[in-house]
Amino acid sequence: MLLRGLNPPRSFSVMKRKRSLAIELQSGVKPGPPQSFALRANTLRGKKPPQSKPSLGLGFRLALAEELLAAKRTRVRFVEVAPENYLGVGGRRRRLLDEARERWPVVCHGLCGDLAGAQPLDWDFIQQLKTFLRQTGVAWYSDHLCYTSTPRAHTHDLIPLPFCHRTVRQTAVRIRHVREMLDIPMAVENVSATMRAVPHEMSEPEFISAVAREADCQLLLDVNNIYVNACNFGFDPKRFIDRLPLERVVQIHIAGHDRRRPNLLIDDHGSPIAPPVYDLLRYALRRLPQRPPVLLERDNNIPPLPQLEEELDRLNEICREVYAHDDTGRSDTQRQATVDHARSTPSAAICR
Amino acid sequence: MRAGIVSAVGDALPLLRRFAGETRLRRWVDAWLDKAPPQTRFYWRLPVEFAVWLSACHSEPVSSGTKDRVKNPPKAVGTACLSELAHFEAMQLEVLNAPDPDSPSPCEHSGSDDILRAHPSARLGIYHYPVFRIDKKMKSLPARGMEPSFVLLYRANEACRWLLLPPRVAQLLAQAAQNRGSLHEALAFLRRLYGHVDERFIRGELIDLQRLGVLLSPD
Repeated sequence: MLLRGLNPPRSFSVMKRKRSLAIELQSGVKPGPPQSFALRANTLRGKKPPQSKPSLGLGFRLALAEELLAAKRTRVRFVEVAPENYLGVGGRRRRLLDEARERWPVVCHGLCGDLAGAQPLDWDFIQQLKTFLRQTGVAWYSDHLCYTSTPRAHTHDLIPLPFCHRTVRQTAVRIRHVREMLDIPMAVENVSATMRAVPHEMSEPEFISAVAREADCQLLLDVNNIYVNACNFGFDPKRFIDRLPLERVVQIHIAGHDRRRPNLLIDDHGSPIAPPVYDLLRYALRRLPQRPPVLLERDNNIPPLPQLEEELDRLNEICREVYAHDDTGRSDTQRQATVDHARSTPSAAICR
Repeated sequence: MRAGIVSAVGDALPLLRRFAGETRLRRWVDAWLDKAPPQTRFYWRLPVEFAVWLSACHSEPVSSGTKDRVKNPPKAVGTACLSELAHFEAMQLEVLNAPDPDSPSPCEHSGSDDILRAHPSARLGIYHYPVFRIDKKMKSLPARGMEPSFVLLYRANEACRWLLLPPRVAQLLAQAAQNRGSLHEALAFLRRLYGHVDERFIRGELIDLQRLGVLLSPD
């Protein structure tokens, strides 16, 4: 069989930046002139006056895109896209992304950046990614704290890391390199797993904390992943959250999972959020010194939008409940102490 | 991981899944992952890589195009047809996701020696089986054609469309794309290959392709 592509892929046409995502996500106010990363980072880290309106988002998926864009009323305040699904892509997929950008702030979450991998970084890909992130005007970029490629292939899976000092050092260096190249704040997401890699020199929260500290990066807290791992490996998810550097959290992910066996859960993003995960979100929100945007992920068995809106309603209720409790139940001194703690961490600046 | 990739391939290549069946599809994907695992980091391209691998494993040789008949068709006719079907469906995926052109205006034919510039979504395929006519209502795979078909796939109004091309027009397009040459050079290539070329006919075909937006105006 003979086949020839008639033309090579072309780069995206240049698109202008429109808004400062961080400001809009956090405070609901309209953005002013472009701001430095540091200022935007400060906004993300709770230095703005607390708002009572939760920032709720939805993963932007093709199967849902038309319905979401057509919805006149929605709880969605921002959408999240995986750049890998849009790099070098045109047609309907690209048009839908452009329409989403017109309507909502967009955050970008990578799928296969191989942040902790052993393979050489793909600088061509990172350059493409940088261009895309600039065009999209995002305030930070996140990817998973795992590796995704082997010498033979891209695995298209999130492979858990050994929690050891060597991996901490290697991963931190790699994250710093990528961040310097992208020139944007970066966050890493805790992943779910069904098995543990060896050697095992520290706990997972210790590992995540060490990577975040050495890489001086932010965290994307996936509460469903914590719950899944807690069931799969038998630990207390709340204690896990307590041991994380929560002042670094810039975004939260929440999703459904599949219970294959009583002690085997798979983070498949294919079902509604389980009640214990809502509870864990509530707990995490109470512990956080800031109010990061919360994103509902749904990738499989995608239901009609109204069903997802019901989940967003529930998330909205939880956020409001926590914020209300936060604003009334804690004294100004207590609140200020939490914020001061967040500011005083060794790596207070998101981006250098 | 494998289950997810099998599912992604099956979702992207629904006719292949239907005619090959889940079991055979899973076996093929397993073989692909073992022998030639994904080199792409883009999830949407996985079915394309799989289909290209499958067609390379099972396809029939194609020579320069015209008057080409395979004298010894393979025994596994079903497999050969399915591999071409996978390829055709994967090309549709590529066409749908191909980047937009820098200057998207299709135009009238504007000169004798224009550089031939195709829409980025345009793809050419040569198929021994009329896989482009297969739809979900068909109950069996079609018989092998007498001659290979030259199929042009392209995007119009965000949908994938295809049309059959005369072999010489297809070769001209492929040659022009490969060498990024002018129409004049491509015609000279065909003349070297065949001795005689009906230039008027080919120019007429190219005008039609420009009207469809497959060929773009010169910069």
